[in-house]
Amino acid sequence: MTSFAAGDAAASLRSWLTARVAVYLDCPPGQIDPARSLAEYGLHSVLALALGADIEDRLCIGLEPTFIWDHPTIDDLVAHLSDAVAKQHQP
Amino acid sequence: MTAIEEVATFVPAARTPIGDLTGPGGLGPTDVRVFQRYFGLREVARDPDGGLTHLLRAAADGLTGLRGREDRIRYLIHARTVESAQPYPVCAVEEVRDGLGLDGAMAFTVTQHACASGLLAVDLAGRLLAQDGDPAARALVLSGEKAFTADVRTIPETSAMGEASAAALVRLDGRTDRVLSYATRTEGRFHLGRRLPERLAEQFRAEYFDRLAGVVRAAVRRAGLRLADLAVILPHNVNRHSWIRLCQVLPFPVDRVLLTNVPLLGHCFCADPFLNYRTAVEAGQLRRGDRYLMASVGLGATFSAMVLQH
Repeated sequence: MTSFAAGDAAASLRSWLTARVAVYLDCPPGQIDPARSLAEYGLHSVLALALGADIEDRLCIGLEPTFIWDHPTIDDLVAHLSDAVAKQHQP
Repeated sequence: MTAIEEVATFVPAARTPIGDLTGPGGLGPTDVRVFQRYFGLREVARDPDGGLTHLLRAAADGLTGLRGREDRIRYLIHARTVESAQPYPVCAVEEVRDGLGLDGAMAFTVTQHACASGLLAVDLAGRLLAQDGDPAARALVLSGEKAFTADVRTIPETSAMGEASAAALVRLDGRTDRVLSYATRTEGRFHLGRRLPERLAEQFRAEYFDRLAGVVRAAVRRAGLRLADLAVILPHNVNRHSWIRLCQVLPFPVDRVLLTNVPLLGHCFCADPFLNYRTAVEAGQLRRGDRYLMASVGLGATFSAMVLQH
């Protein structure tokens, strides 16, 4: 499980998400702008849900199936995943 | 007012797990993972030992209101997703007509609305019966198909097809399951269906929910109702996820969309709303007087909704 306690955890998650998106889009990670909508890159439907599954597995959390649509950029995902992880791992 | 007098279904016992639908023209590993995890698709119904005629006949044989009244059937309509592809002169709908002894029935197929052709066939049956004006006459609408090639075993990024069938006995007027309204919209620019170029496929995905929500709202409005008046929506079984999203768009409570057959049967071509009708009745989810909505989408692309009263 990735911890968000450290300030660089968000950067680490952003880097990992960018790498996963690049795999699905079959392009170099350097071409992915974290502020741009994933749908604009062509990451839609099944691939977006597959990314959601990757996130659930890596962070050991459950997400609403519409999470990726509700948070359409990598930056947006990182910001909201911080909250989601904190909530779901509260004692 | 068109009414559905009786619905019977045939669900074969065999099942194929979603994970077995991989390979050329089928699902990839990512599809299987997402279909199982988010789409609620687990397995699909299969009738490995039966052909199309058997599939349709098995549903029709379950109609108690047909026996002894075969001479009343004026129209036998097979609602199909895919154009019939049988070597001439083999014709399943004619074989069913002859096998059931429906000697006075005109037998034909409608496919123009793809998976939404089942609702089209009910509407058409009502129009034909109304034109004839004989209150004793009936039409028999059959739905269900064989998933016999890779192209029709799955819909990319969307669903997996199942083999189950339904038979609906339609009459000109009646007290059971009256059709209150029907709304349908065809977007012809998507006519290439599963072979849409990426630009159009993206448009189809972008418009899908608004278009489907549009016909649902139109059908409800034409019935003089509000969405909240619907006891249940009987959907096509493409996947659970798309209905969750549609319910957000409408809005409508997803627990009033009958999705229990999605993991058990898969998307059974035009038969889904009728299969789900039987499930709703048997589960006690439809009570006398309840208003409900059947909905379906056909690639090509047609969006359809029909409101009925039980």
